[in-house]
Amino acid sequence: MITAVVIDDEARARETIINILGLKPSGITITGEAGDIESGYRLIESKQPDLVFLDINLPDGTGFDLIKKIGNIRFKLVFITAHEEFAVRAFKFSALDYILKPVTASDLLQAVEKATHLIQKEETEMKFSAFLSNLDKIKKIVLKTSESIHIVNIKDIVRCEADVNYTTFYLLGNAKLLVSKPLKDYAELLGQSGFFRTHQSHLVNLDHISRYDKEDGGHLVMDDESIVPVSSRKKEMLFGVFENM
Amino acid sequence: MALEQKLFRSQMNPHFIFNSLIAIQSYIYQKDPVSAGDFLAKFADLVRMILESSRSEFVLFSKEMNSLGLYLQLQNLRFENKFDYEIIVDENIDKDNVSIPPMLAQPFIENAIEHGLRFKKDKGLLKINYNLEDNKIVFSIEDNGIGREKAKELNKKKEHLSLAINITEERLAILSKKFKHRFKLEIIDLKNNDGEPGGTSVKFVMPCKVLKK
Repeated sequence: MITAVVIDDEARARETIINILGLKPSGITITGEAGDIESGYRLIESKQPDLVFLDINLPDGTGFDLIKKIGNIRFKLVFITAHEEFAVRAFKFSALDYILKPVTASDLLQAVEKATHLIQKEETEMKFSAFLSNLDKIKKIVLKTSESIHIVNIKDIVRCEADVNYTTFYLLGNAKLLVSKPLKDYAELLGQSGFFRTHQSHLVNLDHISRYDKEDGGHLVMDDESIVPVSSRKKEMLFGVFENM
Repeated sequence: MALEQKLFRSQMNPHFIFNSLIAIQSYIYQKDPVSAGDFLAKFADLVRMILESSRSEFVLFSKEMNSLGLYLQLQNLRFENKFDYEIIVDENIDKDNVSIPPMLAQPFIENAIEHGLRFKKDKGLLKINYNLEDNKIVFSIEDNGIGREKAKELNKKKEHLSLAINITEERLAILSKKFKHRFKLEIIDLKNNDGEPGGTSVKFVMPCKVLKK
């Protein structure tokens, strides 16, 4: 859920924005409104919204003054004003959008959509950077098969495949180890070492992905030429990982 | 720009136009078509009157009262009854036979509302007086808003809208020449009951023409 605040000195202009956003399920929750820089500043500090609708002409200064006062902008900014001449300046303040008052519902919803998309993209990227920074923490793993106890270099694992409560490890050089533990356990452990769960039954080492083929809904081909399915739910995340590689 | 055009711009300034449209839109989204329609009709009436009066040097007193009344109603609706207002007209003024320069009062009403009354915490009061003295009209307006000092403070980061006062002074200077009388603007900063700054008073004399007698 994305939170937003509306800062405009005309109470009626604020009402309209809130009313329009309430017409359709826009995925936005308005957590507060303010009519000047002073109260707008306090509102942003206390609510930490994802999105700010900001009027330019405020009684105690301009919307630009408010942005300068905040300094570190951690939200998406949409300027709303009756005055077109501010547009260029608005974009200098990294505004996501600039809407003229009286607003149209489509302009407003389009801005919301843009913001939503960007916020979600950034959230995904943030998860990945946290994920990637944890890589290489463990170097070796102990795998117990029915015959032996293997000490395996994590970088030698190409992929893991689930078979009910067993997991098969495919290693470099076409070695295979069958371990009597569910994949879920390894997904947690190896998830911090550059492994990615592409599917309920598949965990792959990102270092051994050779390519992604788009045919048949998409699958991975590993360095050992094995083919690994990617579930549709995981695709976007996987592409995010590729972006950050 | 010709004075006539400047006058029109000061009465129908973009700020007032857009904020009126925003108010109409808010009624629509509140599903209040009657209020939206009324506001729109009043706005149209006012535009019509201002278009008409900005072309004439003098307008009938009663017409002028209609325009001011409309303007005040619209502003009061826009600010959700943030202030009360009263217009007191000297009973010696024959409204349908006396004419005065149009909309001289409007910029001061606008200043009183937009810079004085709207930032007041409680409900404000705007008093407007038209008196007949020595065959001239004495206009005065008084508000109990936040006062000019505070308004200036709030506005310090924006260029101040003293355009209205400049235009009025320009108009009064022209009228002074024509009527061989010095029509002068007088602005007084008021204090409230506690002796704190609160409100502004504006007073000036304007000529009038009597149509028939």
